[in-house]
Amino acid sequence: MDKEKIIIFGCNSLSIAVASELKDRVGELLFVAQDKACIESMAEHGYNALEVDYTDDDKLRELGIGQDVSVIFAFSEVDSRNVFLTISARDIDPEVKVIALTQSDDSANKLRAAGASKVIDPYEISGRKIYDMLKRPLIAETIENVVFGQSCLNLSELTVDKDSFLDGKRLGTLELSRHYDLVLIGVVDKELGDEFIFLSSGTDHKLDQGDVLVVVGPPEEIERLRQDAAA
Amino acid sequence: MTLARFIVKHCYRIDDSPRYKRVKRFFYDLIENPRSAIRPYFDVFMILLVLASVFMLMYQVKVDMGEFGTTFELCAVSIFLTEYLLRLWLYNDVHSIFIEHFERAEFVDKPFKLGPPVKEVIRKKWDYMTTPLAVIDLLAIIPSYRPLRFLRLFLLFRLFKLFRYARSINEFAKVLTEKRFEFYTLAIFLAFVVFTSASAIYFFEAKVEGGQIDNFFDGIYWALVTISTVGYGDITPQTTEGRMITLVLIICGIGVISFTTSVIVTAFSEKMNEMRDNRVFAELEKRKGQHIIICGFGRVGQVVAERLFQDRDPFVVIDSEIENVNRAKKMGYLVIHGNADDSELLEQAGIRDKAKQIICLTDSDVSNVYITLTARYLNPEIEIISRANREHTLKKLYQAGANQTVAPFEVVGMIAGEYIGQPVAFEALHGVLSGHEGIGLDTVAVHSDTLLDGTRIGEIDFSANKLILFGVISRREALLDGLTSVYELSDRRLHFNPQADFLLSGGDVLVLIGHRFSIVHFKDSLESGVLNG
Repeated sequence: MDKEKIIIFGCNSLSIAVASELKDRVGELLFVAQDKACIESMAEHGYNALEVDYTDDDKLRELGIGQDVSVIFAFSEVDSRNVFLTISARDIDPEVKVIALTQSDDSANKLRAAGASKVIDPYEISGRKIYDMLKRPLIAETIENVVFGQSCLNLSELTVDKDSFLDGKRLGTLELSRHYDLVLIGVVDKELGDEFIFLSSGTDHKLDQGDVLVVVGPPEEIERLRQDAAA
Repeated sequence: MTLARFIVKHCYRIDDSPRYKRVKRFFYDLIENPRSAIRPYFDVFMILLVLASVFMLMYQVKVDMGEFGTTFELCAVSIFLTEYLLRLWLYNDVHSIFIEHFERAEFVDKPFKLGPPVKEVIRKKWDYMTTPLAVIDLLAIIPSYRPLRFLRLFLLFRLFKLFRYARSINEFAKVLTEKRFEFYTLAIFLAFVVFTSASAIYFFEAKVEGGQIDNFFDGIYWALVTISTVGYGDITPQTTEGRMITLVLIICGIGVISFTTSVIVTAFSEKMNEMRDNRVFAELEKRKGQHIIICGFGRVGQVVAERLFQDRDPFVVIDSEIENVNRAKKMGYLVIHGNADDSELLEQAGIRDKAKQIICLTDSDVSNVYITLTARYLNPEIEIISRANREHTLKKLYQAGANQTVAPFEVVGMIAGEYIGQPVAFEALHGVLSGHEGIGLDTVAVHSDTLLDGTRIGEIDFSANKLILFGVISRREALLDGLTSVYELSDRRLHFNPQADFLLSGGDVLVLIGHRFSIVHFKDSLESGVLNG
């Protein structure tokens, strides 16, 4: 990723978690909040933190929205702020990706209407996780291993390049799981749009250049497939 | 052998007898123990008996029931008498008093005398007999004794016996007794006003020609009828002075009535939460345990409660914020309003023996750690799941005794990280985790001697069932075929991506990805004996 500039609005444990996940992977990371104490502590941790009034469009433009900012995380704890920020950002730059945090189902819909590219409801996900722990401990343990585990299984995406052995193949004849220790979860079929389609929907897809596969497996197997597909 | 020695010997024998204890225990469960299963039946029976006997009493005022009436009365009285004696017997253990005195005498090497222990026994039993409920019981029995027939009116005391058997009446009485001070004040004020106005009206009206007040009692009667705003109008003041007093009395009357009402209302509204909580506890009691305690009804708690409610799993919510409590009530959940770090509250919610899991989901890490610690201290066995809002808290929660933890920030950090590098994989991950499209991981168990037992993976056509095979969880030794990787779970192994010749056997669990309808359909076709339906 070359010209990545990412802005995170809001200062709480969630936005800090995002920041620490991203700090080594993107070009520039900017923290924006209205809480002085938090900004200071973020600055101490080596992050770029600013106090900006998000209601002012000019200030937002100054931050680089509309120019080099590619992703905005609207992570304020107050839903209405996130909605406002999403609308402002969308207004300035129709292309920018906005990922918004929500506290309830209701505001999730509003955020989508405001133009958020993705709405994340961490509390619902946590709630489901607890439910799984209570009622389906095996699933909970598996997900814990696959998704949150350090070394075990990884979820990864793979774009089909021109001339790769995947190009032109039908998913039904691919039999990925027999040749690699990988499970294919789904694809993005460019012929059908940008929508991610779970393999379990049952339709057979023909892979073309630009399609994306999502696979789960041990990292070394994913790497093996990547190499084979590139060759 | 002296009488004293004989009695002591007898007492020791009773003390040692398991049969005696069993019998006493049975009667304790039947009539005293508020938590026993048979007590409610006994209570209902007694309520019906009391009502029936009072009804008979009323009926017999004008109609002679003859033989049947007498027999019924006799039966009822003997049951009341038996109950009374049983309660007297259950109140304390007589033999242990004798034994105690005997042993004390032995210890200080003095001769054992019957006097003091007998005195103590009588004193203890007398203590019981003078409690209000015991007095009511006695009054319900005595008038049936023929020489005391003139006390027949006291048979109505049987109605008071209902206090014993109906919990709600009991609570009503308890609430009112808590406002004793207000009622005293009111009574004194009332007595003062009634007495003053009765004297005044008597003073002004008694000697007036055509006046209706003949004596002081008429004055009291008139004052009470007026102040209570009943106002029959059978006695009316005839003089101007009398009317002036009436005006004052009427205004006082409005004050008295409204004051009484407000005292009663506030007494109940103060007690309402407690009474409601008691109902919740009683409900939990009925469930016989196995419920889940959810501390904190924030967003996460709501999601968990909603799903548990759909499954009809018993659970109780504890939250200290009235807003959340009301929301939970509206959804029809069992709620306790209170602070979950209060050990007493947790105990009442059944943490010691009734609950099987407790989930700490408040948005304060301090509370979560504290609740976890309290819960672990109260019940070393219970499963605790706690929420951490900060990274440092995770370790503390495990130290405090949590079995599992959930961290919203962790989930978000991970998902967000995924979005930047791999937006498509993010889509898959978010879909599976949030379950919005109905697609998720699910399990299908392989039971012994069913269709799947002894089937090879290759024989099952997962894609025809619109499912993706993720792996097989098994208790067996790792089966290595060169490609399948195996991961250790807590007590089993996950065989990720098992190959076609993987042989399923009883006890294995298939982990599948798919829409939940597909999973249901797959399970259904397995039940009906079709493998690739």
